[in-house]
Amino acid sequence: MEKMERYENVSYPYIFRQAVPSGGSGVLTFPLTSHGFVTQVTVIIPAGDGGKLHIRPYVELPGEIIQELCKYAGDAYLSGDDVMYKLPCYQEIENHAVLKVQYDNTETDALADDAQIMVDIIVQYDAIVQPKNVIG
Amino acid sequence: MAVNKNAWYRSNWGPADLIGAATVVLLLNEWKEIGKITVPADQLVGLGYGGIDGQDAAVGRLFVDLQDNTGTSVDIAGQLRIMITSSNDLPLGGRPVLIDYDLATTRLGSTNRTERLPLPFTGVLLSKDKVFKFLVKNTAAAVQTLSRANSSVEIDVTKQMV
Repeated sequence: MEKMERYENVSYPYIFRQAVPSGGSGVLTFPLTSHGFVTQVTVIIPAGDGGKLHIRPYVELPGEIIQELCKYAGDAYLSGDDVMYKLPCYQEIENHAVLKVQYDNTETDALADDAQIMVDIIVQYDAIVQPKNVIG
Repeated sequence: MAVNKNAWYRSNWGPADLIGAATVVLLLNEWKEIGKITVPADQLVGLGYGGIDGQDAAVGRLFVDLQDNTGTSVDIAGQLRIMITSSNDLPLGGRPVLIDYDLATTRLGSTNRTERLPLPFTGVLLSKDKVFKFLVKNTAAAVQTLSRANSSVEIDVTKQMV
């Protein structure tokens, strides 16, 4: 372990950004490698979107078990126009869990501006271990 | 809560049980929850029916023929999963997945029950507020839209009043 360093109580924001053309859909992913907790999800939807972009953040645990980061009544997505959702949560994650953000741009006008995905998921780790930053 | 084998009775789930909306969009290579069943109070519910012996002649069967929403509907290509969770959506115990099977197989036997996938009772009975979740992973080359009206489902289950 002398070649390793241990960091405790570290926290990272995982940033999901992408331009999505009209009718585009898919999932952005971020594999995780340590035990920790998702503590906050932030979703920003710029002015002019008109509720066309649907966002659903979730975690996929090993075994492809899906855990939602938000609970929904009705349609299972976040949407809006000129709004920022700052959603505190506390969801345990582990090695090989994957952060995922599902997106679906329901805009049908092919000439419309691309929708912008702006999602930040903050993960707090109890501890992480990594090689020492030593050369030679 | 007493489990009395003599009180078990046979039941089934149909399309309205399995699929929670008229249409469900299935993104590529992602598990999508298409519906769920929450066990009501005073009831126990378990997947499958009958014993595990003699699978070829099994009385409990699974038939899930999922179709898309086009005019002349097309088979949904993908994987079907039935899993169990608590009332808070957390996976139940060490065995949260009961079935994970190719839809090409689950749609066999539309007119002949004996061609359907055998589904004996698993021995797992869920009590009130526990949830059976139905998920599909789209393994086709494009986004598919599942249609409840075009789909056919018959899944044998075991129930008991308590």
